[in-house]
Amino acid sequence: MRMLLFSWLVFAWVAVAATRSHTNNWAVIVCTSRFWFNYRHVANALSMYRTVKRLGIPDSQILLLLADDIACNPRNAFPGTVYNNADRALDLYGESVEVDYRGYDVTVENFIRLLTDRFDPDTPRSKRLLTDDRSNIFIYMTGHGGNEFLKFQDAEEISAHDIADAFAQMYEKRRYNEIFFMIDTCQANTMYSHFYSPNILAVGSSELDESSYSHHADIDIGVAVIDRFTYYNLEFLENVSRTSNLTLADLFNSYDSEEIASHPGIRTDLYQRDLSDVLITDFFGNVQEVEIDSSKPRGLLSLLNQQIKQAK
Amino acid sequence: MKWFAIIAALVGIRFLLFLYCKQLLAVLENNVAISTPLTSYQYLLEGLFYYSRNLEIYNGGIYHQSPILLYVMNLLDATGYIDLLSYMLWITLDVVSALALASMDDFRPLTAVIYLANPFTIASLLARSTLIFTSTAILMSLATAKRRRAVLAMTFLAVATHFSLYPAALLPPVMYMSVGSRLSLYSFAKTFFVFVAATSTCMALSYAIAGSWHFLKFYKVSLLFQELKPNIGIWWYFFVEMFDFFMPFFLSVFNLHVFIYSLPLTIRLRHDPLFAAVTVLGLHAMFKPYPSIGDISLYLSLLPLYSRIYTQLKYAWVALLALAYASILTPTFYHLWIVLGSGNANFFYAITLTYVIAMTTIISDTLWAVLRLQFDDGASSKQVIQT
Amino acid sequence: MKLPALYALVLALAPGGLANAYDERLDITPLTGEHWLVSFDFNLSSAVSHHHQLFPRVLEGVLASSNASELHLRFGQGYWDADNWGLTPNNGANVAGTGVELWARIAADSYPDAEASWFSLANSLSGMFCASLNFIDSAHTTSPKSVLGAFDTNHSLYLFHGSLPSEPVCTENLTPYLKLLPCKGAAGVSSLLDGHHLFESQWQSMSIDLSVEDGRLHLRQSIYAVLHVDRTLERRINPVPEPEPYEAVKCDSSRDYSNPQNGICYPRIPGIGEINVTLSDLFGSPIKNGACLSKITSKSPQICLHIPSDNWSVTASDELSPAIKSVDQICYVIPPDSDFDLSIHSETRESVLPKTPSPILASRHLVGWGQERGGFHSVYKSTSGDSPVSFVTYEVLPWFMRVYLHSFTYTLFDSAGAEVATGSFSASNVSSDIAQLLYYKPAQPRVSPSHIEMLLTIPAGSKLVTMYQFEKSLLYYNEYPPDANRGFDISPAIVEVLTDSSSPRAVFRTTSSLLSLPTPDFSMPYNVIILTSTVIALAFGTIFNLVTRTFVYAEDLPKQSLAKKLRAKLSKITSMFS
Repeated sequence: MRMLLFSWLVFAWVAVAATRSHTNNWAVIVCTSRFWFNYRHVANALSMYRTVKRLGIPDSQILLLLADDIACNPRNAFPGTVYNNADRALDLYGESVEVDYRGYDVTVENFIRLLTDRFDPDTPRSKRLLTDDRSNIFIYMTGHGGNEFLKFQDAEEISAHDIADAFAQMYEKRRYNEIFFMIDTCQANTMYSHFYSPNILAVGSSELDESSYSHHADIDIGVAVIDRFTYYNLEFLENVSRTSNLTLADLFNSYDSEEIASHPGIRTDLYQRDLSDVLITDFFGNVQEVEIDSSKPRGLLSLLNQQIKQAK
Repeated sequence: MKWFAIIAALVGIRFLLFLYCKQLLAVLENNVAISTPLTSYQYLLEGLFYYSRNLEIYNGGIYHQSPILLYVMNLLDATGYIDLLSYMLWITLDVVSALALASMDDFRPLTAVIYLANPFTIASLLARSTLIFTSTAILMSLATAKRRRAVLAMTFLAVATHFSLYPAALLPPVMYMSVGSRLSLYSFAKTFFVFVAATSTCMALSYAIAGSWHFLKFYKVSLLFQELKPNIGIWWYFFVEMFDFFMPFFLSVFNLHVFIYSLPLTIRLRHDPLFAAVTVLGLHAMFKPYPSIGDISLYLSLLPLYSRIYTQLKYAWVALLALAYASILTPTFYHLWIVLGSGNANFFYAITLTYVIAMTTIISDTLWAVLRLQFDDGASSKQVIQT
Repeated sequence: MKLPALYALVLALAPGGLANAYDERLDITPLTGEHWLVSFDFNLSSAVSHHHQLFPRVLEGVLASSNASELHLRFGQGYWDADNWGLTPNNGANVAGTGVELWARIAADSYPDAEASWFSLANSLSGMFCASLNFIDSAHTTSPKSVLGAFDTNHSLYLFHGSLPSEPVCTENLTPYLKLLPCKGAAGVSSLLDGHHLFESQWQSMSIDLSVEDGRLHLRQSIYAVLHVDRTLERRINPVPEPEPYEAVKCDSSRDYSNPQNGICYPRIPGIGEINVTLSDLFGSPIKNGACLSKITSKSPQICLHIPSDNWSVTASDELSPAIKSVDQICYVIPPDSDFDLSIHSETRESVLPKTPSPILASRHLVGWGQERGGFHSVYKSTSGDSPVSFVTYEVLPWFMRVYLHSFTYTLFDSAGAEVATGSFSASNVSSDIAQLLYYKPAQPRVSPSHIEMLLTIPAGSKLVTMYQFEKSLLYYNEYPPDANRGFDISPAIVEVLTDSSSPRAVFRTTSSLLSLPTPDFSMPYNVIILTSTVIALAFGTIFNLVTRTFVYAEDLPKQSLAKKLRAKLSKITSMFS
């Protein structure tokens, strides 16, 4: 009798404690601008790429889309490099970089196919987003945008509805656990206004009718090298390490619209967890866990152990 | 006698221009208003190059015309004087066209002179646009049909249709003309049979020359609009700027539009089917996929046959001025877009729209005049309206 | 103790051995005083059977899934100055043209099957090498007939070639390239390879050649780069490209007026005089060594300098003595345990070894003005003094260049510059002894490109100038790239010089070309549809009215006031519904 009571208590505890959490992390980083004067957008994207790589996400789980080749551009006075700061202390391109979609390959169609996994049979694995329902995905987009649209390469546009529908398809196909959507363009907050699928957290750099500004330029490179919103995000993320306990609430509280020169927006109504419980590393870092298939009957104790480990 | 001298002079000018103005010939040969992908002499020479080397002609490449032309040009090339002989062939066809026109008008020399003196005709000849084969065949067909020579009319029409697909729209008026008063299903069927037989002969000849049925691909180029080259028509810019998704829809609509006028016009103008044919030719000059000024000159040269309607025309000056305006600005705006790069495609496109408006004015005006005269022969000067 | 010995015995006795054969080398050849050619060559042969310890498995998988028996991939940028630098390394067999190029031999039962395998090969490689090889579709694919090894044909093997001249080449292509090497670029000669220095060079070429022979896979990777030594050295001091401060400029003392004390300094021509450079200066680091390299190969890597050893002196780290020292080269065997650096010094850097001249110097460029038509003008100069040179040219032109091959003409000039012969591919002469059309496949719009192969022969010391014209097409709205006004890249022509013996042909590529096409106004789709439809409706409506309505005399119509007319119309409409 006591055994029965104990096991019921344990089940109750497990039911409460076993919140869904992720077992793997992916990142999709998109720079949609072409041409040399959009150096800063490539630098934005590569900064985020470096951050997620530093915090543990492997190249095989990062999809980097760069619409133009900046590092080896003939205009680049420093061949093979991309800097995000005029002090040129950190070369973002570095020794080892994997760009999955580059140049003319970065199109609205390819981006939506990537998100919804409706691919050509010949598409190589490194170009596909192979997520499942326990994947946390960090999606970062930067470029030129406007009221509910984002320009791809000066030739086409993706609208807020397109992205919202793509996310809805992902939800139907159970392709994500949670999505953190960050966008740095002009009037960026309008891009997430039409999302309607659950478990999406969105951050934009500026309100409707507000532009997002660049931070500073490098005299020797000749163009602006980083945007303000991304710059202040990076300033915070520099302090995050793989074992850090900093949360998204800390990140969002660090935003100062005076410094950013625009009003970043955060959309949390589709997101269930409290932001002060969400670690930065839940999206920017990498967790590699194995979820044992629970279809076979398992011993109670091993099941309990497994759930405790996941809840940590 | 005076007329004979004028005609001889016009033919002589053509020879002189050939002999002494080679630069002009080269410029006209490349002009988009005169040569289209289906009628260009340069493309013909390229096709001849493939033919003489036994290369696959119609699988790719730029030659989109009948194999019979290749065979004829190959014969001329074998002599080594292809330049001179081809030019003489073109002049001969021009003279034949002028004669055919005159014969439709009781051999009034003025009609032939108007045709030969028309600058569009001269320019088309100097550029050696292969449209002349089609035009001559059409004029011969109309001339023989007027004389009720059904077999000849249908043969010439079949030849014209073989060279470019669109004279098939002339089938209703020409059949009606050649059948004349013997209106019965039997006579219609007989003429249609002649047409089919002549077409089959042309196809068989082409098959023999080309060696396979691949030559039929050149019809596909017109129907599916596979060559995207600027010309004075309205198809090219429309298809350039259109979204992919609508391609099949608009291809069908535009193609339908080209053929849709001929039967209704024939029925309405059954008292004067020649005018139905003339109007259809005018509409083709606007709505064909690859029109050129040769088509316009063909239409304008047929209008003097109806000199009696001139008093009824309301917009003659407006239309002719618009046509002149468009003709002057076509090479200018094309040059501005393509060579200088200081204008853009919209300039040239605007001129193509002006052409259509000018031609629409002429066609509708002449059509109104003919119908007006049909109503009461111009006997009364009372105002007539349509309801 | 006995067990390892037994194991070694088994290894020694096993047929073909389980060991892979790997060797690597670096050659440094000063081409002129300031341009130095560095050549990295890596050769790996796999063992028979599938014991691939070193062989990159991913490549083997790619070969197997596409049924390819041969694979060649090239990445290149820059300009090789054949006039001053001679023939490219290894007779040009592993040298890239501009952009990315791929060719492969695929075994299949039918052409459509082979083509499908080819496209899937291009797609897999695009993921592997971070290059947009997925753009190689049928409009970019040809089957060469007389170049790239096409002549040794086995009829069940299909040779495909695709080229993307507008592809950039950057660190993301170098990273996976280095990962194919056994030490992944961390040790050995490959540790010198760094994107910053490689992509700063005047000309670079990265190649991968993979073939299957007797059940063994052979992989050859070569990276060639021409470094501008002065610029490289300057960058180490000041990364920002700036002119030297006045005080640092070296004056040319051979000019008597050039005397800094008088305030006149004629700057010395670069590439002359003294030079002192180490491998670390050139590449950013010395050759790193570690356990990795010694574990995989018994053949130590070699580094060779091809210099006249009289005027140059080379010192190696740890005072190592050269393995080979002759009048025209100094070679070292790199020791397996420590880092290795070389110090190269000369007082007269401009004294370099004579270069093998290229048998012909070829250049091809676009001529013409305007966006309607143009021409391709090629100049071939023979550098040999005594015998005629025959060579095959292979040109692939995108389908929107509508070629007029009947306009092809050639003109031959002798060594004095006088015109000796002219001709064309006219219909009457099928072939001439100077220019012969070997193969021509005209382009099918949007399906396949134009493919032209010619055999040209020039007498000794002569120059051949060829020219043919083409017409430029207008494209559909969505066929233009986002930067449509930049133009479209045309892949380089491949020229292979024929040799009598079985020695390999000298291969080289001309420069790529940039073709500007006429563009429509991209902001106009709706406007054009509206305007054209309006004009058509105007015509249709007018003629429809004329044809369907009847004529009446105006005065015969009952005169009605406007109100009565409207009431009549209204009653007509209501009667329709009742």
